[in-house]
Amino acid sequence: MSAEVAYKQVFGWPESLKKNPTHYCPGCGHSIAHRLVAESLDELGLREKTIGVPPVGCAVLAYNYFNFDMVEAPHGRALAVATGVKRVHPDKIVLTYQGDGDLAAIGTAETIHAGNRGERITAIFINNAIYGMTGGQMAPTTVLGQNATTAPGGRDPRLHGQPIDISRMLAISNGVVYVERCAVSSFKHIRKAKKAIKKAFQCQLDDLGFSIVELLSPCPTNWKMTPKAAWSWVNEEMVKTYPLGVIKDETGYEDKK
Amino acid sequence: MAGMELPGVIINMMRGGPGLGNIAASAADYFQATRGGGHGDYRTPVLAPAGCQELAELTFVAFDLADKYRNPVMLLGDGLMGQVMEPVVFPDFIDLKDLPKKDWALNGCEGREPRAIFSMLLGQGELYTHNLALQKKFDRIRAEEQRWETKNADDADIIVVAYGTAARIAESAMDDLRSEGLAVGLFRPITLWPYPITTLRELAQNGRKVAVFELCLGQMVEDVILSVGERAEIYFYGVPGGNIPTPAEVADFLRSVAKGDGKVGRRIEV
Repeated sequence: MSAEVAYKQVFGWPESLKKNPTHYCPGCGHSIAHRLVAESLDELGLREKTIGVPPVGCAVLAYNYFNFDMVEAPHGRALAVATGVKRVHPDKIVLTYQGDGDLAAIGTAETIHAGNRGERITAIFINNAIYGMTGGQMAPTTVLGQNATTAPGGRDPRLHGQPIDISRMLAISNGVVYVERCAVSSFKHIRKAKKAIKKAFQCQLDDLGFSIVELLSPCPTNWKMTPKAAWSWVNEEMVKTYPLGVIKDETGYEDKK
Repeated sequence: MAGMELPGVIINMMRGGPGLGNIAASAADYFQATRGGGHGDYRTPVLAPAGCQELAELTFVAFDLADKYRNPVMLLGDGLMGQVMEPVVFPDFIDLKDLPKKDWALNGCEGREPRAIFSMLLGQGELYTHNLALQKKFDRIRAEEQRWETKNADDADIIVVAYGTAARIAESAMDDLRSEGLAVGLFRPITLWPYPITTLRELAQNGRKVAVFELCLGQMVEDVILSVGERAEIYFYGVPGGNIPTPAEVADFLRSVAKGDGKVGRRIEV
């Protein structure tokens, strides 16, 4: 008698991700975030219905990695472009994938207004508290005391101002239905982030309003840390300014354990 | 948009400037419209209506040109057109099937490979090649899309060059002067880019004088100089700051051009 072995695939390459090697630095959170977005779209069967807008910043070339339709936007304008796309294609899933320099600095007006209008868009917001692509300058999200090339002694609130918590700012807008802050700096956090991203897309599928998932993400290169130290810095320091968890949830979904 | 080859129509109703200036009619954005905009090696077709009827008609044209060439197109009116009411008859709609198929548009990748629309070209030589391809398109637009209107040009001794609201004022001045026996004709560019260079060049001969009138201190006059060169005497009269001269004031300019006394406006030395 031959032994019958049934194989079940439990892990693979998401269809929503192209098989291209990324240009991201070792230890960067982008590749993880890309994968979480891709897995979520696959699981919801949305790849062929999705139109994405990448940011200007490290992830500007995201259309080389995501395996669905994508349109580039000028600096900070992703949510404005996404608004146009969604208005023309209300039956499609429209997402922006933006860093903090894009979403919370040059694009603040677009972000606040797209959220407040209640655009049926999902924003994936990668917060690494620094300008990554341009070489480590202070971002509005840079936390107090954090070093940056333009804040060499660390961010001083009197000189450089306070870090901005744009997710909480969005949460007070009526058009915004779901805001959660997660991280990609531990296995536990990554699993939670995946759940949040999927929920955000579901929120758009159900036409509820604007959804955003903020992902605290390590930038070892510009933080001048090893990848491991960068993960620890997210988990121990960055979360003090940006506490993880659900900031707003008006989806009415019951969380499955 | 030009880099990504996305069609789009931009409407600029020019106000007085610089800065916040005022909200009266001005034509001081000519450089910005025909030369400026974003960065990079690209051109924007610019359509200049001379009233509300033409504004309606050229809006149709602008959208069609934008689709045809996959490029932004600008409608350049002014604060007067933006604030007055005139009766308008809408043109017939064209058959949308006559426009090129949008095989580049994003609508979800169901049943096909994903598409990406972007203008960032980092690979060796990519941007160089892209620019050369865009330039060919701009050459085609330059050759095929020039629009203009002439009135009483055939027997004219003086050709007034004006566009938009200025052209309507100049036309009234022309009519008044014709009744006085002064042979004035009008050349009105409708596309400011591409500028109808050849047509103007052909008009500017046989000893005719070219008189440029603008609602600014001299911007389109540079395209007139590029078109006419030393073939004819060029005179300029411009009014800045959202002030709109009467036909009588423009007529004074044209009388001064006829006499060559330099009392109104000035002679442009090429």
